[in-house]
Amino acid sequence: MNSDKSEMFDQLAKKLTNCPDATSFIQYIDWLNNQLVGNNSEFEKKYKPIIDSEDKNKDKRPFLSIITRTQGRRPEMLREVFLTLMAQSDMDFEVVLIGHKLDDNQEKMVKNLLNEFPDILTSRVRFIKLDYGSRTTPLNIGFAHARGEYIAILDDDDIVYSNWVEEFHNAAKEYMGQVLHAYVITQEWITIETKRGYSALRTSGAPMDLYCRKFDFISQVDENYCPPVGLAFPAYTFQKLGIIFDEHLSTREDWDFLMRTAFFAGVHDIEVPTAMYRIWINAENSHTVHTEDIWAANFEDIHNKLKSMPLLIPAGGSALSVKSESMNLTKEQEPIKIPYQLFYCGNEGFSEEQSVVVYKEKGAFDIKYKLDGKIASKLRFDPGMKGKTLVSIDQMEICYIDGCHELVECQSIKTNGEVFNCNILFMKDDPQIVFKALNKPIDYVRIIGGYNILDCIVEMKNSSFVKKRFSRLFGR
Amino acid sequence: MKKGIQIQMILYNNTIKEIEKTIISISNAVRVYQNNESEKGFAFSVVCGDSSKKKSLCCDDSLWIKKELGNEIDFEYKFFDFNSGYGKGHNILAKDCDVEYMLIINPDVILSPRFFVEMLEPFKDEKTGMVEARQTPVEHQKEYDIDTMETEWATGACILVKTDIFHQLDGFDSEHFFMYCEDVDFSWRLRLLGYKIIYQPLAPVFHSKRLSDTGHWMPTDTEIYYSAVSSLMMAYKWSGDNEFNRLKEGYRNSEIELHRKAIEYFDSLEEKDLPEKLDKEHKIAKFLNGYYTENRYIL
Repeated sequence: MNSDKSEMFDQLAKKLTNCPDATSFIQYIDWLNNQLVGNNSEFEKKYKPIIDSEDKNKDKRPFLSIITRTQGRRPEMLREVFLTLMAQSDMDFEVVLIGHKLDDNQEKMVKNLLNEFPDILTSRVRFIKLDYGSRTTPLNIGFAHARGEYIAILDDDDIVYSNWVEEFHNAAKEYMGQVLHAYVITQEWITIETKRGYSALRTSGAPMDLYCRKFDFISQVDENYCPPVGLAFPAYTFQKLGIIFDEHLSTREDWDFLMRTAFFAGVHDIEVPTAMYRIWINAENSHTVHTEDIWAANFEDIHNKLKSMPLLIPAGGSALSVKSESMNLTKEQEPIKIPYQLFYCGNEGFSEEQSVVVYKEKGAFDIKYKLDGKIASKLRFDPGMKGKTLVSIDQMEICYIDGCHELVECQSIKTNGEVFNCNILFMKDDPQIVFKALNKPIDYVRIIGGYNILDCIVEMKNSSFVKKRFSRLFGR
Repeated sequence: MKKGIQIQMILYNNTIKEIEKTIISISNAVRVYQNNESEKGFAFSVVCGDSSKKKSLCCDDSLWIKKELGNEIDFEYKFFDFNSGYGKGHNILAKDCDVEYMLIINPDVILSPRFFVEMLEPFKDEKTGMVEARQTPVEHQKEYDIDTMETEWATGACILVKTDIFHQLDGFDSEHFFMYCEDVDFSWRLRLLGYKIIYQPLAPVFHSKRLSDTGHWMPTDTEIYYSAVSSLMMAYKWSGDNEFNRLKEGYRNSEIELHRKAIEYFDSLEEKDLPEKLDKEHKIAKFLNGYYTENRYIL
């Protein structure tokens, strides 16, 4: 800490001497104090000694330490992780490869696989064998061993673009100390068997932009929209302040860690995709290894933690309005005609000028928007303007001038509502449904579905709660 | 023909820094191949054709490449002194090739360590004429058979092809395709001869492509123009009359100026400028709304 900050805190402490304990600010300081110097024996006992022993190796510290956990069960994926790391445009990194609970064969496989790569990669990799702990322990071990200024998690089934390290590095030059959050593309993948006796990897769905969104402190309290591969954490929060991963969590440990770090350090957005989060359809992943009950229990644990925390949201940290105006409307006040608006755009973003609006009563709708050769790479359908609405989509069709037809699948849309198959619940105002087009002249877009204003107010405690409730409601 | 692989790439204003990892990955993949396979006399060589205005590589660069590749891999650098484009450039480099296979790669492709082990495997079937590597992190969306791994065409960013077939086909049709689709055309001609194209998902290569924040391609003006010209040429050459008319209509009415320019260019061509029509029985060629095979999804 520099002298300016010391002086600032000294002055603040003097002014707070007679301040009542019940104020939000004092509660925040108390909470922070407990986080950093309170009951943190796990950090002091297990991780501080490792950090101290690594300190002597930090003369020429790299910019980024990459923590990769492997259980040695998916060599073809790990090989691809190394390939994408070798391709980085910025090689100022080290890899801390944690072999977790490997048997002799698995350890040999991981080491052989690594040795297949050239020195440009292997010279940057440190292999650490770990035989104890939960799925989260390797992260704490890795973060403790890290020698970089920043630390990122790259699991052994993710892949990164060549700009992954470079974008973090550029952002850190200006926003040093904050958590760095880059956009992440998601894509469905499968494994296929080959005659060689080992699996190959194959994409099975279109790339999606679900995690290409700015970090929002309010939304993040409700659900995690940040896959770990899109994040880089400043080393000091773990290594100096002792904010560590909660090893009691078997899933969602990254979300819990991110939130505790983010509320302390702040977050800077890098608004370009730098990585791909792979959704495995037929291969082992954390969703197949752990039951739904475990996921739900961890979700509740984290929520309880977040509820008990005073939250410090930096200026501009949330762009969301969490209330819907229509929640206060009586039946008589509900709008008679609903504006159904379709926006079309290339790469320049949506605007009123590039939109068509049709007014219809609530209930079933069948709207054909004539676009007469307008070109769009993406389209946005806004069913009305208010929240507390339920929209079902039966069909979305794009017909191009060249005669080509495309049916948009519900799985491929992006929306600010909650999706349950083809039903979308909008709790907040300004409902939006975004979908891709083929960037060629469009004749028309036809959307068939239904629009309902909800009679009851659904308490939106968390999205999984709502999902469960509505899954039952729709019998799906 | 001698046993071995000639690895060839066309440079266009690439710096040594841009191709250094490609070279390192080639050297490494050859090492891994030689550690795994014990076939004697299997030779590797690398040849770079430079189609830039000024030489992309200086003497020191060539020396570094030679050192990196070591004594086991020959290296040759050819400065064309004109912009050959992809197809013509590779045809020039292939002319003197007298080894069994040619690896055609883009200079920004990085090979995975077991690349040669996996890419050569499908050639155990004599009917295999060409093998295509899987690109990562953005895989091509075209369909392939997950049992036989057969595919209908191969993207030219990274293909391993039998040299005698390449010569038999007179290489890429550089007379009619300057950029884009020469790989589809080559693939279909190879299949007309009765050979198979195999997609090898076990051989990932890093090809530096990125998507926009909506998960889409971001085509440049050059890509838009030349892909329009080449798509018209493909439809004409491969007797896709309906596709040809559909494209002409679409481009003529397009809001994109470069599409209308592509039509203007195509209309200015005389009979002698156009290729001989192939596959009149429609056994090979496939035109699916602007694509040349079924897709698993739209990118």
